[in-house]
Amino acid sequence: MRFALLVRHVTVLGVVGALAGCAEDESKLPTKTVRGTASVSSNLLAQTWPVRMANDEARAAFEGKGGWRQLFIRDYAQSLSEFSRSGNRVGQARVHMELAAVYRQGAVLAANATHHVYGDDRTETDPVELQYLVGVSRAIRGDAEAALAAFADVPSGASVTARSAAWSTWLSDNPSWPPALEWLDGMSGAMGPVTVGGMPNTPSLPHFEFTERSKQRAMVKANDPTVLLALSEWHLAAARAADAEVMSILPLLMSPWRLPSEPAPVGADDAPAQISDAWLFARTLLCSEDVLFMAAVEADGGAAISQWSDRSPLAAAIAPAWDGDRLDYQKVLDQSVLVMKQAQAAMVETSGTEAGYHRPFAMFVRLGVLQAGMVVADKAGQYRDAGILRLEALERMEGGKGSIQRDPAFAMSVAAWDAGNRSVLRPEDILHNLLPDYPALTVARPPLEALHLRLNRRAPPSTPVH
Amino acid sequence: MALRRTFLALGGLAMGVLGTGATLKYYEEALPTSLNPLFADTMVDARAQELIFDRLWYRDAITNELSTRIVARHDVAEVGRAIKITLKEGIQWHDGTTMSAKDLCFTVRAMLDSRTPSVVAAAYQEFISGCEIQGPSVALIRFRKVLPNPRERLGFAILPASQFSSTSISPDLEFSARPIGTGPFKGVRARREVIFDAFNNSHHTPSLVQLQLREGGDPLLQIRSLEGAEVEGIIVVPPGSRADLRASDEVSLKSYDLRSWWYVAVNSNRAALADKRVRQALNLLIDRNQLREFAVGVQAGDRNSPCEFISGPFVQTSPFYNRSIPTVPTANRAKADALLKSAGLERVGGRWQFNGEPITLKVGMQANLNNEATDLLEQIGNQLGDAGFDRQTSKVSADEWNQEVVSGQSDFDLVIGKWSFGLVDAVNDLFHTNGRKNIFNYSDAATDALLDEYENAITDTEQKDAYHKLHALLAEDLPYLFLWKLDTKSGWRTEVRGNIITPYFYFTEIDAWKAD
Amino acid sequence: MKRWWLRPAVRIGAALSLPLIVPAIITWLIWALPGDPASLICPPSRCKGTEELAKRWNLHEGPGHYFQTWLDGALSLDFGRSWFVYMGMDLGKLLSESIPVTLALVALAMFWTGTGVVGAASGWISQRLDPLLQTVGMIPVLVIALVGAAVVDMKYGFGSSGQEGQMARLLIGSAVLGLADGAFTGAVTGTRGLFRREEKQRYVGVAILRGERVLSNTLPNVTPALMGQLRARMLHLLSGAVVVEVMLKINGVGEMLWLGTLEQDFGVVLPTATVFALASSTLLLMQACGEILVALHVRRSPRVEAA
Repeated sequence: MRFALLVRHVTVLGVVGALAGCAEDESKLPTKTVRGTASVSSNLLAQTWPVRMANDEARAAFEGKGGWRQLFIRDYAQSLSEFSRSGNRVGQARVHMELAAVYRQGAVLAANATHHVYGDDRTETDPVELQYLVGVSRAIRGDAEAALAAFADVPSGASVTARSAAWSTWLSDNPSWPPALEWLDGMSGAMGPVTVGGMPNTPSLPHFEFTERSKQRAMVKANDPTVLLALSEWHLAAARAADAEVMSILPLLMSPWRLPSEPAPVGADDAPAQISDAWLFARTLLCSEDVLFMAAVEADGGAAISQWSDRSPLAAAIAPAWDGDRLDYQKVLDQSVLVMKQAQAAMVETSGTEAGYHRPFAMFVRLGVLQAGMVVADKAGQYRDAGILRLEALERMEGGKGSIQRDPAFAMSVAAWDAGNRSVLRPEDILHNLLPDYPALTVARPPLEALHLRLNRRAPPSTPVH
Repeated sequence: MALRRTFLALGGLAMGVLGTGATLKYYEEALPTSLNPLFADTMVDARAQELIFDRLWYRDAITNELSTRIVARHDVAEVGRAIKITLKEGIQWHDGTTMSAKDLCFTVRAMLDSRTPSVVAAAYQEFISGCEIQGPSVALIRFRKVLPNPRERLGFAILPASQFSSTSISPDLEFSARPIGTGPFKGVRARREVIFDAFNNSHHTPSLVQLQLREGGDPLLQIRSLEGAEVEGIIVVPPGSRADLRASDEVSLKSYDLRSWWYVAVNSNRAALADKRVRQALNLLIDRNQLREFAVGVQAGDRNSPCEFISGPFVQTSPFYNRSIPTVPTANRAKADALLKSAGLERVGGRWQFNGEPITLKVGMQANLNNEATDLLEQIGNQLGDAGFDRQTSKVSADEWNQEVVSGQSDFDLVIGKWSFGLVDAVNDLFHTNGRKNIFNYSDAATDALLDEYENAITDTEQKDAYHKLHALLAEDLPYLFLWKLDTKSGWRTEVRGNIITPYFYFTEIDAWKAD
Repeated sequence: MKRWWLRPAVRIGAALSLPLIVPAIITWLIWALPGDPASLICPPSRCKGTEELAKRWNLHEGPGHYFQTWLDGALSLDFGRSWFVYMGMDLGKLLSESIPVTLALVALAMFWTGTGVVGAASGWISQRLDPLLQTVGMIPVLVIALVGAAVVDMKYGFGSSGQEGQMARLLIGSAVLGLADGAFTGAVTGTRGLFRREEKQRYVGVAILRGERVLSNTLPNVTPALMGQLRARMLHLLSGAVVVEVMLKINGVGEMLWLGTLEQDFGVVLPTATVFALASSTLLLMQACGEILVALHVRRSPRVEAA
């Protein structure tokens, strides 16, 4: 046996030198079988903005146009500036909406972190004034009763007593969210008048410094998440001011980013039949029907899939993964790849040739499937499976060759979700990467860091390794 | 009895082997030095050990929920100074014996045994005082102080008492190469690889049949092997190769949450380097922008860069990072020269001399780091050379790094390395005079005081403040020249499914991994 | 010469003592070098188990005790475990896997050398090829070994450490050893030179006149020198094997010795160095036997046929 092996390898040796210089034999490379069920018809795919925009005419309004180009790479500040210069009101409205989404999720992140570190994990040395922030956080998280209880713990005469009272009053008197912009403006410091194409003023940070109830009396810096809410509402007001027609669809468009305290949008039937590409371009909701489908999922859960699978590409895409009760997340993962490839093929057919933008555009299809699956899983109580899809979607927004830049609102929503799970490393990274473009998000940093510190002391001991 | 155990062990292995799963081959940074969890010196060790052993409690990779696979029930006892643990029944060791409370208490006692030379164990010694067997599956672990949430602190792996003759466990025992655990895989270290064979258990049903770990060599060959489906994964994809893999349909680039930062440690016990001004000058002579561009492929101003400079012993996202301390991205030759002259160095014929003797810096770098930062050693050597220092550069093998460099017994002047952290980025062991990983035995009273302040802090804020002050101090005293943090990405072929990567530990969710 | 037995006797003496002297020297080195292995793995300033470790490794009672304990174990083929390099792995098992690999490497390399010897002795390899052979021989082992390693890595990828990859490495390694650094060339020119000088002797001319063959006449006389050359070449191959095994990542004893020395893993260095000492002893014994056989052959009375 060994002799045969020897002989064989003498032969190998004889050609090994030549082989070393030879080109790779292409036929030996593995061919990939794409898993999944081809459940999305070509008609449905044709509805999606990536496939429609494979047509040069459909794409012309967006391609190379400063505002849209910057929006695509998530440079919102520059995008807003370009839209303002060109007088594109719809574009301005779109950017304001995106910014509103980022700050809204920032508020959720701050709220989740604060709730854990100074609420659940409260220690006797924590400054008692922090209960104000706990109250605001619980209000954002939708637990008005717990919020009022926290506000009640705020001592009189503290720097946050007045705010605490204001929030308590608001919560007691106003069952529906969000608070009015004027009220938020008053709470968080003058942001300035709502200006289309402009940016709100942000108060200097930190908002507060409280003293710990310990021998050392260390100072704890803290920020009021109300500011982030205010910023979000400011931008929404700017969006409405920029394009009055957005009023009817804004709740639907903002639905993925709504606060836990905000109800799901109702009246999907009242929405316009067609949502323009200005509101769909560079989003993972691929057509008007997808927007309505997701609203239906919020209302009815997975049952919406069968109702919409003949109209909504996303519904059709995840239908094979839904058995009526549970979502198979692995199938969603497979479907996301398959439908992306189908979209790419459809784009080639539409445009007549392969082009560089096909892959990044098709990535939105993949992300759309993942995020749709994520929402369905969440509604079905499959928290962990939804998390897997959520993280996979974030992973795919990697930036660089062949991929697309991270959607900051989605990234912040993942950070907020992580903070809700008392996990800090990823949200810290996400927040850190976004701060250069969205400095006001610094408001969310202190509670996240405080949560990290608290978990650090409770974690298993470890030493650095190389 | 022995025959029965053998059959059980073989049965577990056989069920794993005959399963419908596949074999997964992957490249690691290096071979593990030890498969014994008490001696996890490198991240490679930690990842390999995660396949073989069960930790008492662990965090779910997705939801971060505190979970356990081996504990049936726990009760806080003795007013928070103890925890009573009831282990699950029927969990087998890889040799067919059944796990019991005896094993749990043995593990605790081994960690508390001062003759066990384990840095991992030393950390647990600080708060665990003992273990008492209260039943076949019931043990009581006692603490030195009240712990409010003890489960969160008990993240150690259980060892089988039957495999050791005493609680004094040495790293050179056969167990380091042929361990017995309760994890989903049984591992055996060979000369050039580690083979992990699936072991079905009551609490583990791995879908994969086998994993093969080999040391990845040349990064280009690793990527070629991955793209050509000769291997299924690479744990650490070099930054330069990430763009191509990202665009591939065959391979998925996946984030691996690991807080790592790179450094150049300075031997402050050596001649000229003992003077802080010389270290500060070296810090100003290193052009980090240039190093990052040539070694990692990241340009200054790149958006969402995976490689971010640091000015102290933490990554910028850490709450311990002192943001008021600026980084030093570019070199400042004039300022460096002024510092060197003030330290008494003379420039003769373009070369620096100390006390009339030319300075030759002996620079080493952990060899496998070259895959992530190509030619970093040469680049730094060239910069030092251009600045007027003679140097001798050499790459240090993983074993030599463990045995000599980390233990403070090397004779280098500068060493380039990387430290990795999980959630806890405590650095006391690196800089304290008695630190267990104090390269070059750095000793400074002010530093020790701050590190003690951290250890003794009552509140989180006090801890943070202590480390902020430490950051400022070390940024001036420079026992290390702090370089950057570099994100870690793994590459896995898309045939590998369900491959959820746990932060730090990596393979915690390996049961769900499948491969076509 | 009356005392023909002296040289073989010295060789036999050296052969028997080498496997004891080499580990003894290494043991002396362990104590002569600064620091101690137990402190390397468990520095007293940071670790409380140093004494315990030293006891386990028999380092606590001086070199004599250490050597005696090691020798007792070695005689029962128990070589202990690696301290650092292959931490925890049984050295007896490692050696049992590695020794055949090194022997195969050297034996295959000897094929080249042997071909050179036979070719030169029989005249198959023409002298006109000498310049070419010398040019090839100038290429250092290191260069060809590195090229060979790269070829195997590129060809076999992940499998380059597996069975097929190891076999390819072995074959390339043997070619490297047997050809590079003048190994093959030296075998050819050295053998040819030896035979040429012998052929000029008067008795050879007489033998030719008697109608006898040259080889059968010269061989007994050149055999001791040939064996000496052979032993030198084999030692050259053995020492070269260390480099080749390291460069080509062949799982042989040479690589173990190299890594063990580099990392002061004396648990590995002792047995592997002893293996090489044993190899050298074997060659010495073979040479001694060869010399004895030649001497006896030369001194036996020739049978004279009755007229």
